[in-house]
Amino acid sequence: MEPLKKILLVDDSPEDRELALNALKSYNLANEVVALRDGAEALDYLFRRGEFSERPVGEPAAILLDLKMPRVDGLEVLKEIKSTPRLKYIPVVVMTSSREERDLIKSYQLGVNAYVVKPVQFQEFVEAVKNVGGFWAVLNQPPPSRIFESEE
Amino acid sequence: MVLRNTPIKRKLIISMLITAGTVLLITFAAFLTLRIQDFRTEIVRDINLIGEILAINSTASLAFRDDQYAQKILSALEVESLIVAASIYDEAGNLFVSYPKDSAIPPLPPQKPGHHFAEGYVLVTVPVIQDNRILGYLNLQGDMSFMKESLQLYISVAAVILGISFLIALLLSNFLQRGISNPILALTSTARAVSENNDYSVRATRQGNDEIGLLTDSFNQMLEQIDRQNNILRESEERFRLLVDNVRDYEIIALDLDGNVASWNAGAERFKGYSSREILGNNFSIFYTAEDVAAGKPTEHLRTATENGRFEGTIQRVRKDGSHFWGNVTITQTLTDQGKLNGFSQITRDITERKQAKEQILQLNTDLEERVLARTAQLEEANRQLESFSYSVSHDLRAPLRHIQGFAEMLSDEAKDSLSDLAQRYLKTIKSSSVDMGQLIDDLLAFSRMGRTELVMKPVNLDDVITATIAGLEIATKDRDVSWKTHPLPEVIGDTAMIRQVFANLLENAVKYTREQENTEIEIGLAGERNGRIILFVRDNGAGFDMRYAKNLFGVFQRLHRADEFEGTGIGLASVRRIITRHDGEVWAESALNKGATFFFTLQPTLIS
Repeated sequence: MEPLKKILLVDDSPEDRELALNALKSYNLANEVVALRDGAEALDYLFRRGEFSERPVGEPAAILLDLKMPRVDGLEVLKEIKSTPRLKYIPVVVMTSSREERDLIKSYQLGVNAYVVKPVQFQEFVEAVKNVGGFWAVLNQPPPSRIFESEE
Repeated sequence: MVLRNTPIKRKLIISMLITAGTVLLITFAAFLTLRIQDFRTEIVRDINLIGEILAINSTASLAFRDDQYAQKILSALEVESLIVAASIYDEAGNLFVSYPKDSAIPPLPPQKPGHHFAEGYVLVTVPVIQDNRILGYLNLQGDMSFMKESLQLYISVAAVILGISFLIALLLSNFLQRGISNPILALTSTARAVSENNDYSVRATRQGNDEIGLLTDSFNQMLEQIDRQNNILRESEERFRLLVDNVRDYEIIALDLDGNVASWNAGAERFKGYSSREILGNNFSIFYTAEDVAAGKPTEHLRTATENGRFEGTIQRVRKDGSHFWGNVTITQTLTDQGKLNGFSQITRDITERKQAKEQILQLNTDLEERVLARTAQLEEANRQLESFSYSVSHDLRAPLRHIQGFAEMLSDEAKDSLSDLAQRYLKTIKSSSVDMGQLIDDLLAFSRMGRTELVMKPVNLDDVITATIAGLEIATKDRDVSWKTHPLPEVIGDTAMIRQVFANLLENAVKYTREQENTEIEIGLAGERNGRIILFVRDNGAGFDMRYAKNLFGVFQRLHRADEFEGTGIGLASVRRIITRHDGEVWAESALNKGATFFFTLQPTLIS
């Protein structure tokens, strides 16, 4: 069995990050959760740049991506991910407070795997995070690493 | 033939004279003939008598052939100058004696007894009879010249009489003919006066009650009629002329068959610049541009008007000063009473102004449309922005709320054991306050969205809406005894979603405020009509409200109950009022504390009953 993969969480709000982490933890997910603060950090991490150039090998099993972030926003990150052979199979779940059609269209055009609107109520938010995390990280079968080798 | 053309006076006199003359002559001739006859008869009788006497006297001499005696007897005729010759013949036809003896007149051959006229003489033959035996014949020749003389006298006298009679006839006829000719001449002179002076107001004087009088009357009547018709015609022409002349906005002119201007009006002068004096008689081709004239347009247009009854077109017109303008020209044929073409009428409208005006209007229209589009785009953009704004506002407001709730929850989990009851109550308050705030934000967002959305007006089945709403409240009412009283309601025109919202709010309220009742009764029905709209009501037997504060009932966030009595944000009724107002209806309520409340509102039914 493959080692449990990481879940990448990208959100510029520290409170939302903490709440999400808490939710994932309470679900007893054994996965490690990597929490990043904005799009630039996310890209650095994924491309093993800057401060993350020494990070361990292996891609996350799922990416929970906020859209409204400073510097580099979620859509840019999504674009980068889905146009990079090595990264494009990673399931990306947009988790954002925006229900705007514009964002939905753009996200799906860029190949997002799921789009979740952050519930306003705390409880529902927790449920959503648990469901998403649980599904992608536990239930879903990630693509085997060999798929990356054939792309290289 | 000549007679036909002579004046009537002379004609009458001549005819009268001819009549008189002819009559006189006939009478004269008759009498003359009679006279001659008489004369002849007389002569013959006389000669016969003499002859008879002589014959008797001559019988002896003839019987005895005594020619001397016979000669003597015959010589007695000398006295009678009338008889110029005589002779006796015997029965064999031989001459016996003749008188005059040695006359140059040849002896008369024997004739039959009787008389015979010839060549100015009369021959009488008398038989000489003795004892019923004819011995011979006695011929007597009478000279008719006597008659002639006598007749001459007769004729002269007659001629004089004739002459006098004729004269009298002349005078008489001259006098008498006046009775006929005078009225006729009077009529004639009137007629001449009328025709020479074209004066139909004169009248002939009636003289007498005969056919001429009748003719005079008829003549006068005709003049009367002509005069009247002339007046009518003149008035009508005058009216028409005034009508046409004074029109300044249209050129109305008449053309003759060749296209020469026959009449002109004020509008033509205004448009073309020519006065009527200047232009009359000129050909209408001078109004055409040189190119049009070269292309034969004037003739072509006249031909179209002749063949098809009219020509219409928008063509370039040339003014007196040479400037051009666009005119809409109609050339129509004018016909005589008998349907013969006798000219054209041409009406021209200056459409330069109209064209300009049209272009201006089109331009204004385009401008307006552009402005409308721009404004609509602006409004749409503003709307979109507002929508986006309120959405993002609500989400931005909700994020901290989520955090408050979340961390309060996590705190409560984390410090559950170490918190005092009071501290836990404080924490609970924090959590519930944030929930309240979330609700307020939602309500406000919904309220603002509902105020901006476009209404889609369609027939709405109220019964269905109510049924669905009641069903939706099942959960809220499942542990209670709620009796719903509904009545069949007519179909209304409205935005389905919003009408649903109205009923949802009202029924939710009804359910909420009857919570304390043992038996809840909520009734929905029809309360009448107002201004062509139906009045609907929702009545409950719940807490009711104090009518003194009713004016605040529909205010945004206004409540008439404390939050500890009944929860709520105070936006439900504000929404209801907003929706009903957007449907051009009215909403009001009646209540008494603890006696329930009735909310009324009006909507437009699809059928006006």
